[in-house]
Order: sequence, then C-alpha cells, then structure tokens
Amino acid sequence: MKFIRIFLHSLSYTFNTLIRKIFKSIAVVICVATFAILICVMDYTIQKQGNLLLDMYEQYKVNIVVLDKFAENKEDLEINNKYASIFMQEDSKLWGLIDEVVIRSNGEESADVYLQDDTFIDTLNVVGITYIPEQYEFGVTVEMAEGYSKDIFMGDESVCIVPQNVSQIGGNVCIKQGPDIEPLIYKVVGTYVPQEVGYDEEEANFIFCPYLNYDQHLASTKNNIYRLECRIIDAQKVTEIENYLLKYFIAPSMAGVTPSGYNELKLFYEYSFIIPKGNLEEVIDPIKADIKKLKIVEPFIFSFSIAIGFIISMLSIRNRKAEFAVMRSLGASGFYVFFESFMEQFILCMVGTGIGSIAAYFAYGNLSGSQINKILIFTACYMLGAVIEAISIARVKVMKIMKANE
Amino acid sequence: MGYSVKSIYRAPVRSIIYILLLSLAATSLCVSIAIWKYSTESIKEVRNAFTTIGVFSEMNFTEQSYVKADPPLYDYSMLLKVKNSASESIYALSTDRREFVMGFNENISPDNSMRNEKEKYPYAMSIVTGICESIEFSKNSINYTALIRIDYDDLNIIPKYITNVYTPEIMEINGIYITSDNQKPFKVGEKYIIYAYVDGLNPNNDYLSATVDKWAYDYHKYEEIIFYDPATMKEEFSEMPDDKPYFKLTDDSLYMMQRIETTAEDFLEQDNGLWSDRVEQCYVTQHSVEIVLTNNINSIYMFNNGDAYIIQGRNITKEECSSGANVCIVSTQFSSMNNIKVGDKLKLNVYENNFKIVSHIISKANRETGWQTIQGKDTVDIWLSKGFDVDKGFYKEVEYEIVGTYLVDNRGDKNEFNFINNTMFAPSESIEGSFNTEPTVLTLKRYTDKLIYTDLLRTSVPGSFSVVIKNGYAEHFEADMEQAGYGGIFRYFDQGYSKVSKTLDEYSQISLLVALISIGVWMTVVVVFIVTCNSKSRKDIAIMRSLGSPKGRAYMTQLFTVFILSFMALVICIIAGLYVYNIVTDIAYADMAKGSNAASILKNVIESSKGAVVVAAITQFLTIIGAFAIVLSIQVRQNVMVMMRKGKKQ
Repeated sequence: MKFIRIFLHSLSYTFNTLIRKIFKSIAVVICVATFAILICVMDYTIQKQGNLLLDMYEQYKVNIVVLDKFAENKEDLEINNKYASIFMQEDSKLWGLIDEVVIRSNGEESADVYLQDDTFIDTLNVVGITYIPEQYEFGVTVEMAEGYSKDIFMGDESVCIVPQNVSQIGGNVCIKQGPDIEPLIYKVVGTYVPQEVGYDEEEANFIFCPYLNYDQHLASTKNNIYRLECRIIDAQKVTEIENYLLKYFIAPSMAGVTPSGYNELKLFYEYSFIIPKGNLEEVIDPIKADIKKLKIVEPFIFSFSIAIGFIISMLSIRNRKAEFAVMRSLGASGFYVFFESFMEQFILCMVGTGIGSIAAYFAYGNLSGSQINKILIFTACYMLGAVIEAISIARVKVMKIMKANE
Repeated sequence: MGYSVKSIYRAPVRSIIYILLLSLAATSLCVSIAIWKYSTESIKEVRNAFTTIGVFSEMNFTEQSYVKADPPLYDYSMLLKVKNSASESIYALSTDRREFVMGFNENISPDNSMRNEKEKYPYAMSIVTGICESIEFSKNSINYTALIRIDYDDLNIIPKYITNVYTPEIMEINGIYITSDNQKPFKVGEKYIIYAYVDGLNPNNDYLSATVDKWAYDYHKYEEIIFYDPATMKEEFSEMPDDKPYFKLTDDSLYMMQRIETTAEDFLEQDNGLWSDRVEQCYVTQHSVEIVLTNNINSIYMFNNGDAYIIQGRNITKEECSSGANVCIVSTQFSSMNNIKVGDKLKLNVYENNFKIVSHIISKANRETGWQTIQGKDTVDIWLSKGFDVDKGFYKEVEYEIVGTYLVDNRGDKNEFNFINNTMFAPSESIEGSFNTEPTVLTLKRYTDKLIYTDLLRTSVPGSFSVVIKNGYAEHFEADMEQAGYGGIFRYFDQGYSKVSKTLDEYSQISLLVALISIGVWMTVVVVFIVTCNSKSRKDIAIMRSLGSPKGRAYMTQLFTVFILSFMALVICIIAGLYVYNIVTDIAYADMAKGSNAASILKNVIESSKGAVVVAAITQFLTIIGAFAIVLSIQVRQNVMVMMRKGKKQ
C-alpha cells in the first residue's frame, strides 16, 4: 500500500513538474520525436533509393552481341553450334538472365520442299532461327498462326515458316535434303508473301525453322551460327554476365591479341562479345555510390542521434540538482529521487518516440522491423543517459549540493 | 571575457556536455547537408549523361534527282530558317553543325565492308594499266565489255581491300562511250592506262569487275548520240544492227582510258597534267579516311540512339569537344584493316572534299525503317564524298590520338543519318577553319517530252545538323517550333531520359527530405540548448544587474560564454564532419572507381560537396550565436526583480 502511495505520488509530482516547465518539456519531446523521425527517414530513404535504383535498371535494355575476334563483324561468323547451349539451355548460368535470343544460320543450305503426297513444291533456303524473321533482315513480313509466338523458335519442334505459295498455315510440308535422305515433316506455323524486288535484289526464298531443330536435322555443318545476340533482362547483372561470358569469349581486341587455348566448351577462343551499355554506367554508378554513401553515413548519424539523446537526458536531470537536493533534505529517499528523475525522462522519451513513430507511420504507411529496432535502440540509449545521471544525483550528498547551490 | 572563461572553467562537466551536444548535432547536420549536396550534384551529372536531340531529314526540303521522285514536303529556302529557329529556341542548349573533311595518310586504307556499289565510291576509283584482250559491244544496249590483262609490273592503284585478297589477271570493264572519232575505246593488243571504278572481284569468272563512263564526271552534259552509219562505222562495229545507237563525248578529257606506248610512268612525265591529277587523286583518296567534325558526339543520331557504340576504349568527351582536343574514334573495321589500336596516334593531311549526289534505290528491307521519311519512297539521294581534289590540295596536317573504336549496328542503306565504316569522328575545334562552304550541284532528271537535266545548288550537307535540347523539354521545343511555323519537322531522341526522369525527380526529393529532417533535428537540439542556457543565464544576469553591472556588460558576458562554447563545437564539428565525409566518400568512391566511366565525374562532385561541410558548420555557428543574442537581448531588458524571482523558482 505504502509503495503504491509513493508510486502514485511520484507520478503526480512528475506530471506537475512536466506541466510547470511546459516549454522545456515540449522542447525535449519535440527533440526526441524529430530524432525518431530522422531515424525512420534515413532507413526509409535507403530503402526507397534502392527501389528507385531498381526502377532505373529496368529502363535499361542491354544487349550482348557476339562478334569475330577483331570485333569487326557480328554476322557471317560460322560459330560452332555448341555456343548455342550457353544461351539456350536451362542449366546455363544465363538462363533467366537473358531473353530475345537471336541465333540464326546463314541460310545458304537449300532443301527441297514437298507436300505430304510427295508432290514437289520448291527448293528453298533453310534458315535455322530463334525468332520470327523480320522485314529489315530477310525482306519478309510474317503472318503467324494463332497460338504461336516467337517462343516456339526457341524449342526444337518441327515447325516452319514458308512462303504463302508453298503452303498455308496449319498445313504440313516435307523437307528433303537429298534423294536418299528420309523426308522430315514440318508443320507450317507461319507464312509470308514473297515481296516484289528490285533489279539488284534476290527474291526472299526461305524456309524458317527453329534453330535447334535445324541444327539437329538440317544443318550440314556444326559451325552453323551466322549471328548470335541476346538481351539482358536485368541490367544489374551485367558485370556478372560479363565475367561468365569471358569463359567462352574474349573481350574485343585488335591485331590478333587473343587468349590462346581452349575455352570451357573445349573450343578455341575465336569470338569476342560486347555489351553496349550506352550511358548505363554514367547514370547508375553515381546513384549506386550515393546509396552506398547513405548506407555508410547512416550508422554515423544514428550514433550521433543516440549520443545526443543521451546528453539531452543527462542535461535535463542535471539542471535540477538543487531541486532534488531539497527533496532529499525533506526526507525523500535516494530511490525516490532516482525514480522521480527517471520517470520524467521516461515519460518525455515515450511521448517523443511515440509521436515520432506515429508521424513516420502515417507518412510512410508502415514501419519496418529495422526502423522499429533503431527507435528502440535510441530509446534505450536515451534512457541510459537518464539512468546514469539519475543514479549520480541519487548518490550525491545533500549537503554538498545545498552548499554548491548557495 | 575573463568572466566568461571562468564560468566555463568553473563548470567543466556542464561545459563539456554543452560542447558535445552542439558538436554532435552540428556534425550530424553538416554531414547530412554535404551528403544532400553530393546527391544533388550527382543527380545533375546523371541528367547530363543524357542528350536529347532534335533532327530532321533534309530530304524533305530538297528535290530528289531521280526522274520519278516525289516533290519535297518543304521549300529548300525554308531549310536555313528552320535551323536558325531551332538554334534560337530557349530550350536549345546548342546546335551541332557538323563538317565533313578527309584525311590522308599513305599507311591507311579504307576498310572493305561496304554494303553496296555506291558506298565504295570514291575509294573504288582506280588506275589500272594493262593490255586489251577483247572488246565486245552489246547488241541490245549501249554498253560494251572489254577485257584487260593487268600489267602488275606497271602502275596500278587498286583498292587495298581487293589487292590484299586477290590478284586477278583480267579486269572486265563495262563502258558506254566510243571515242570522239567514232572508234572503239579499246583496241585489242594495245596497252592502256585506265581510270576506272573497280567494284571488286566477279565471283563467276574471277575477273576484276570495273566500270568506266559512270562515276567520274557529269557525262550527260557532254554526250552525243551517234547512229550506226554503214559507210563509216561498219569497219569498227560490224555485226551490229543498223539502228543501234552509240554514245560519245564531246570533251576528250573526260575519257577514262588512254592508249600508251611506254610505261605508265613515262607517259605521266609527258602528260599535260590530266592523268597525273587522276593518279594523284586515286592514290590520295585510296589512303584517306572521312572525318566528321562534331562538337557533341551524342548529337549524332546513330550514337544517340545506340545504333553506333563503342567497342574498345571510350567515346570523345564533351570536354574534349569543347577544348578541341586532338582525339578521335574510328570504326573497328578501319582499325582492324590498318592495324591501329586505341592509344595509337594517326597523322593525317586534311583536305576538304566536294560531294557527289547520287540517286540510290533503297532495298525493300530498308524501306520501312523507323521514322525517316524514306518510308514509301523507293529511291533517295545520297551524298558521297568525291575524294581528293588536286586543285584544292591539302589544308593542314593534324595528328589525332585514337581513344576508341565503334561499331555500327543495323546500319541499313546509306542515308543522311548513317555513315560508312571509313568514317572517323573528331572534335570540330581540333581543326580551325570553315569547311563545306561551297555549294554542291544537284542534277535533277525530269521527263517532259524528253529527259531534261536541271542543276540546282545545295548549300547544306544532309545529316550535318542537329539541335541539342534541354532534357525533358522536347515538347516545349516542338511547341516553340510550331509557333514559328515549323512544327512537325523535327524528330526527337533522348536516350531514354523521359523514362528515367520521374525516377530521378523522386530521388532528388528523397535526398532533400533527409537534409530537411536533419535541419529539423539540429534546430530542436539548439532550442534545447538555448532553453537550458537561457535558464542559467537569467539567474546570472539577475545577480549581475542587482550588483550594479550595466546591461551591456551582462549581455556581452553571457553571449561570450555561449560564443566560446559554440566556437569550440564548431571546430570539433568541422574536423569531425570532414573526417566522416572523407571516410564515407573514400569507401563509396573506391568501390566504384574500378573501371567505371563515371569515376572522374564523381570525383569532381565529391570535391565540390566537401565545401558544404564547412559552410554548413559556419552557418549553424552563426545561427546559434544570432538566436542566443536575440533571446539574451530580450532577457536583459527584463526587470531585475522579475528575473530574480524566476531564477529562484528554478
């Protein structure tokens, strides 16, 4: 009972004191609240800037272009078919990091195309391809069957795109590459109208089929990749991809300066690659450096905040030494004085951090775990300062304080 | 002053706490301000990494030479007005008016990856010496075909991209004109020196394929048609139909072959200059590179939109452009052909070239490319360099350092926006002088009742102009142009700035937020400090005033106390603030400096932001002193008894 009475009395005295020095109390509360907000804002800023950086990365579409070893040409390369596995196989490290793979053969191999009843239609140039052929490259405008997209050319199905006068969409054609070779049946998933051409142009006369299928059944040589490119989905992975590709390709170089020996495909280093980044580095690197700076500076700011909280709590108690000395001289125990001074700072701290936390919560919609942890650490350090000063006041001799006051 | 120092000395713990409080708050503030300044500057640099350009097709302003060409969309006289209006817009940062020259070095050769016949001009113009083995006129056309056995022991200037690979014995020449005295241009068994356009090797017969009577001059002005006259022509042209026409030239100096009886060298010594000039023209041109002088490499369409990109080394920087540094970038094909690498220096004898305007049939594949108004057309005029002009000679010698090599992607047919692989880019200021000032003759061919040739003068080289616009202001620029009556002419390319600008704006706002909150925190700490100091100083002032001390003295004493405390905090703040800033930037910069193109830019930003620490520290010091001075001045005016009572209450 006695303890409850003392507790309630100390609480009422605390509130009276806080109200009597209302401006000072408000100043301390505002100070603590702004520290709480600063801690939340720093944490939020780092997170938000990280998200904005990801947004920036998404705006950049970066390609990988494979070239000859002198970086002169990206076409007519005669690349070994093993290189396709780096870009097309699921167990490759690039799987999931790239899309829009462009692999095609040179289209110089020809094949006789028949109907299924063995009626000869035409001799067409076979092109193994991983994408739908385009006007600028082949001079064709393709109409695809419903339900079929460019993804079908990344597989090895026996499908094809042919001129409209060869077959209609949905039909089947047979491809024979020689008199004694078993014909292969291909489903027509797209057609194109051969364009009228000028006097110096050759008419487009191709049959397009998925590269993997072409490589398996129709290619006459293993070095059948005419052109090889792809797009990197996530520009963040550029460095990682560059390092991976160096196991198979060389960085472009002049005049025969090439690594000797075999790459990881057990082929000679013959081809180079380039990843044209445009202004990616000039745009992304400063932002990355800025975020990194903020991450480095944030512990400093946090430490300063803790130290300032500690000092403010000490100062608040220290200035009332004389008052506590009078209380002691009137019979209040050391514990009561400690409790009294501790409670004042506790209430101010709780109100301040509460206001700061609520303000941050309403401003950002939520408080993350790390923000809450940091606020708790700040609160603990603030109260530690209060505890230390309160203990020192509770232990100091009354007469010494009274004499100093005089 | 003594009193102030003593009062600090008498309460050391309190003084240290005050100094710590102020210095920590100030350091936190200064570092936050410096970080915000860094963010602002680096965002500015990020925005500067983009270049927004406006370009337009000059083909829309000029008649095309092809006989069935559509009329232009705009009058040619409007062209200069459009350019001037663009450069006067408040949203235009600058304009790039590129100039085209060529540079000769006997150790270089153009590369061999030209896409079509026209792009080989003027490098394919060659001197070949040999003996005629046969000549045959077509019965159904005006052409003839002559076979020349090449004499490799005599003078031959044939493009290196051919001679590196082939040494054909026979050259197959296609021509049109008979001689001025109505004879065959070549006689079997005779030796000739020939000025021909050597296209390459004919894969069907391994002959060198060449053309005369097409490229070198404006033949149509000097043509004369001759019909077969049995009495006069039968001896020369037997077995030809009676009504077959022949063409000859009225100016003997235009013929591209000359019968010689000695070596070519001996012949040239006695020549009146025509053939010496042709030999010099061929030799110099075949060892030349085309130089595009620009003041902003990213204002060039193909570099701006990523169709041309750096393979090795780096691009020319803005600073190098503005300072006229002797640096350049070349194509990978050129560097490979000539065994030149990044870092090498190339001496060039620079000369100004004229242009030849040629009508070019656009391949079907290129007719629907992008935004250019070649869409729907099947021919377009292209401007080709004419190569070395002996009369003009060389302009000056310049040495360039190669800082990078580029590759062009998806180039398509030659047009005003792309360039051949034998092109080098260098800063405009690297060569003093004005070039391309002479007008170029455009010859129109139109049918009325007969084919009419009309010469027009063109003063602007297509593809030489672009306007650099402030990032994010392309629409405003277009509005300006619309107001001037030139709307819809320009097309805009911004390297993706419009996609990222919103993100950059958000980024700036967030960075500002941290600085504002830091200022708020500092202010509250200062308020706490002032409130705390104020309560103590009230008591001291009251005692001093009651003992007879004047207001001024009491005021200055208290103010000076705070001044000393704040000054010590300032010193600690500056030292600690710079220390923390240096640690932070060193760690962040070190990680990024490994091979990043942005490293040098950021170094400047770091240095300029460092000053913000000191400025912020001094500003907060002055603010504290000023605020306390105001509070003190109010306090000092109060009644002594009121002050004593308040002090006692505390």
